[in-house]
Order: sequence, then C-alpha cells, then structure tokens
Amino acid sequence: MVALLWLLLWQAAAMAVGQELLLVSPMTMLRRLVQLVRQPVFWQAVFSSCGRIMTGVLLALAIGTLLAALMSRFSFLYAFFRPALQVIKATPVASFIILALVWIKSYALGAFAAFLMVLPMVWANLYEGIAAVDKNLLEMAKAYRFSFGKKLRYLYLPSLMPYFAAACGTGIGIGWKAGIAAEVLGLPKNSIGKALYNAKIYLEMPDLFCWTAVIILLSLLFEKLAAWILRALTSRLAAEKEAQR
Amino acid sequence: MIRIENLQKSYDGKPVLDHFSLTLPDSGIVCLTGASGRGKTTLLRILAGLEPADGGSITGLGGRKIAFVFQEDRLLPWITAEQNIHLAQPHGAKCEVRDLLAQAGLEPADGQKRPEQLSGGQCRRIAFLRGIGFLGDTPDGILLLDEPFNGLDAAAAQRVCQMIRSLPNRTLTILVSHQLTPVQSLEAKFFSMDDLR
Repeated sequence: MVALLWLLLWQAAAMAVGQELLLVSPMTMLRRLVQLVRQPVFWQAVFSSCGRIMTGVLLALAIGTLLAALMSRFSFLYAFFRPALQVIKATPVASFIILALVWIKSYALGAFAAFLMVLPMVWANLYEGIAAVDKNLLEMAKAYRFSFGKKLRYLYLPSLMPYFAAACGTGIGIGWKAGIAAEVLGLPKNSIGKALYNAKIYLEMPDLFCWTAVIILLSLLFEKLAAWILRALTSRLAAEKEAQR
Repeated sequence: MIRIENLQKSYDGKPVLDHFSLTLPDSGIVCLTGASGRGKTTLLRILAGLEPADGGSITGLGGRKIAFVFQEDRLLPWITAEQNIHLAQPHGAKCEVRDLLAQAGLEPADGQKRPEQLSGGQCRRIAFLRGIGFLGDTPDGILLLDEPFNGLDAAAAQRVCQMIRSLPNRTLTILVSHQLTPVQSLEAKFFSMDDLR
C-alpha cells in the first residue's frame, strides 16, 4: 500500500516535470525494463555482477567471522588487525577502487570492493557478538565440561546468530553498493556497472532507472535469501537435536 | 576426608576467604551456613575448579566428578528444558530425562518448554536436574548446590530433598542455603562459615 503511494507520487512528479530526460516516469521505466529482460545481454550482466559481488560478500562473511573469532581469542591478533580494519572502514570506497584498478583485473574489481567494504563490518558485528556471549553460560559450559563442538553449537552459534544475521543483512546492501561503484569505474565486460555507465554516457535515463531498480531488487532478493537460509539453518539445528533424543 | 587448609581468596584486594580451613567428610550431606559475604559461594566455585585460590590447599578431591548447581539457573534459553538436562548427561547415561523430571514433580510437557516458558521454581528444578544428570551413575560424585531451594514451594523443595537423599551412598553433597526448613529434613552436617574464619 505504501509502495503504491510512492509510485503514484513518483508518477505525479514525473508528470509535473514533464521531461523524461530529467525524471523518468514509472510506466516508461517499466516498458524499458520489459524490453531489457528480453535481451540475453541483460541476463549476462545480471549473472556476472551477482557472481562477482556475492563472491566478495561471502568471502567477507567467512573471513570476517574467522578474524572476529581469532581476535577474540588472541589479544595480539586483535592489536595487530584492529588498526588495519579501522583504516579500511574509514577509507572511501572510491580510493580503494582506483588503487585496485592498478593492482587487479577489472572483472575482479566488484568482488574486491564488496569484500573490502563488508569485511570490517562483519568483523565488528561478530567481535561485539562474541564479547557479548553470556559469561554465566560460558562458566556453566565449563562446569559441565561441554566439548568445543557442544559449546560452538549450543552456546556460540545461537548467541551469535542475531549478530551474524545483522551483518548479512547490512553487508549485502553495502556489498552491492560498493561492487556496482567498482564496476562503474572499472567497466568490466557484461556487468551492471558498465550498463549504468553507458546509460550515463548516452543519457539513457530509462536505462539508468531500470538498472538502478534491478540493483535494488537484487540486493533485496539476496538479503531475503540470506535471512531464509539462516532461519532454515537454525530450525534444522533444533530439529536434529530433537531427532537425536 | 576433604581437607581445605589456609584457603585465601580476595577480590579487588578485599579478602573473602582469609586463611580458611575446614575438613569435610567424603560422603553425605553438608550444609554451609553463614552471613552473606562470608565466601560460601566462593568456596563452592573454588571446589568446582571455576576459580583458583590465591593461597592454601584442598586435598582429597582426587579427580572426583563435580556437578555445580549455580545460584542462578544458567539454563540455555534457546533449547528446551529436557535438552538442557540432556546436554549435561554423560554419553550412554542410564537415567532417562523424563524419569528425572517426574522425580522432581515436573510433567513431560514441561520438559518440552523453553526456560522462558517455565516458572522460576520450574527452572530451578531443571537446573538441579542438570546437575543430577551430569553426575549420572557416578558412585562417588560431588554435588555442589548454591541456594537450590530458591523459588521452590514446600512440596517442590521436599521432592528436591528426596532426590538428594536418593543419591548413591558415596556421593558428597555440599549445599549453601538460607532456607533452613528443607535443609533440616536432609539431616545434613552444618558448618558455619562465621565461626570458621
């Protein structure tokens, strides 16, 4: 209902402006989108960008989690890595992309930018989550001689799940923004970033709106998918325990 | 005999146990009494190996299995009451969790609930059963109980007492409780930490 209201407002604004070059109407965008999805090149760009950006995000999730665990366990690692992660966090994505243009091939740029932007966020979330694990429960696990596996599964994983879910949700959004920005600068073949760049060069405003909508939809789709996978994993862990009894 | 000699423990420079000595029997039921801050819980924590003493010695524990029922329930909130007990049980434990629940006056349906769905008294009994489950069939285990009767009505407290009395003969139960009515029914040996400092 709210979405419909916003669409109506957008349509009204486009009609008021009266120039498609300045503000494309939702109907024009929709018509152009229908044309685009019929072209194989559209899907090539979508799949290539998805592959690159989600590779970066997944790597950041894995390495960020591992770093958070190691840095919580070993203080010298915390002292060593924390400044680096804070520098990465504070550095503008454009600086990294321009540097990376010199270091790596343009097709890997999206993954690299997504990885770099998501990594410190995942690390910070998970590190905070590990520090917040209930000390009383940890002591209970020690008193009852829980094995490492038992502690991981019944104490750490459930405690960290909200932090990991938050990291996934925000990380995917940030990853898409950084990844697309990198593609716009690096212009790899078959990429959404290059399509956006072309739309800018040729002043194809309907294309610009279409590709922006596609990016938003893909980002939301992957966020929902991640949330669904995490929910399924959590219920599966509980169901397995139930079956063992 | 379990000999505690010259035990010392301080927190932030404030001594809680100051050259504390006590000899405990190998088995039976022992109740530690004393005003708050006398170091009863600290002594249990040191016995459980959860905290090192600053000085002194404890002999006679000889690798015996120790279960600690904490003052707080410390149940895992995301799993059921039954799972909480089951997780502490040794592999191949003979005693069924449902039998333990019944002995403590809990319904099988209570075992399927998560801690947040149970009352304070029910959670207390689940925490107690976890300790019992952990000892399993150990013939000479040590059961440390820190305020086990908190939140229990008279009937539930009596069921808990009955379970303590039913433990194997060589078990040593050391309890700290401010509720003396249920403790009296246990015919425990009393040690006042006020006198022993």
